[in-house]
Amino acid sequence: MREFAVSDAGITLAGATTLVFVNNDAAPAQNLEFLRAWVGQSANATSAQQRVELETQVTAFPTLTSATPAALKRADAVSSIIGGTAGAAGTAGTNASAEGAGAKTSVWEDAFNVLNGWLWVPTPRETIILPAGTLSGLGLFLPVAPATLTNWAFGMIFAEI
Amino acid sequence: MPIILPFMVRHGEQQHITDEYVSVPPALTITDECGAIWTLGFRVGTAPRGEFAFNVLRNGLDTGEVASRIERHRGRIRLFTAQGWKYLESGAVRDDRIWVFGIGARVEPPLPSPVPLGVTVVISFEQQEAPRVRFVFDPQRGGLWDGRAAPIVCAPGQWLRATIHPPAYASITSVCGQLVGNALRSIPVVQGVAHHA
Repeated sequence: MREFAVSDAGITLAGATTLVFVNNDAAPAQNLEFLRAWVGQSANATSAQQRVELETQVTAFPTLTSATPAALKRADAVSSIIGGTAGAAGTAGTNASAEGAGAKTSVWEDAFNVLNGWLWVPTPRETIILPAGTLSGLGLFLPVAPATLTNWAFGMIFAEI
Repeated sequence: MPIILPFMVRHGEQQHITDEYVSVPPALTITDECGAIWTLGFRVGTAPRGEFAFNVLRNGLDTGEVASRIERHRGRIRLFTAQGWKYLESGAVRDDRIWVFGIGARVEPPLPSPVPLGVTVVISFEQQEAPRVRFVFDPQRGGLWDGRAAPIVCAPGQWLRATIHPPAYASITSVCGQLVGNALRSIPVVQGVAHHA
């Protein structure tokens, strides 16, 4: 199994923002199993609670900064998912500058203290699988703007299965 | 080469100490009294039943430990591993080898087998008087030892098993073990703990 990371760090957010968005290829292709997601910040020492959400979104997708998935096993072949700015099928991106008009559907809601960050490691039956050909991508999303917008780090790990 | 991401390492000076009982996960990181950042890496290891376990990173460096959770508890870092809880004294983590066990903890098996060549184990105590500590060397050899900071050399291929006997008075808070004189940084002194006697 091949695992890939889509992540970014030192990011200044615009507000309530999609941090990471991954959209699988059209069928027939691999399925994507999401194994981990995280959000953290290193901007200040002020305790504050922050909502976070894993959600699916259909077109129109967010406008993103292109992010090429990095192989965790460095000798692996590159991911079938490539970097992209439009959230289109087969692409991944980070730090949305526009959220897009597509409806978001919450999959997982949580909240965390910004001093400690948030790490989601699902047990096997809790992993989220994005099948090939699905019409929606999976996003890591802050539903409300954090009090401090600077120096955020975030990412998601997925496996191609 | 393991992948190290920015959240795994420090960014500038320490700005806070993580509160007691914060656990990774669901928290992303723990900042200890030394300003070190603790989190889980991506390498999967042996897990407690029903959980995942990953390598434990301190400031992005692999400690050699594998755990399902990292917590800050009573001013120390503790790891939930397949062998139970492991306690790490925050002030003495520079070489990643000092582990502290609560009073009455029973420890077995303490070291991987076979024990590496030339390992010296030093047991020290935080209180005025030492509790009785008994070390039993397998196979079929044993010894009884009382005292502080007495080094015990574990011969090649031996297993080391330690049983901590709490004394009658209650001033003892912990028992420390330290691995010295060996380059195998990834092996902690006493592995496994486990439960109160």
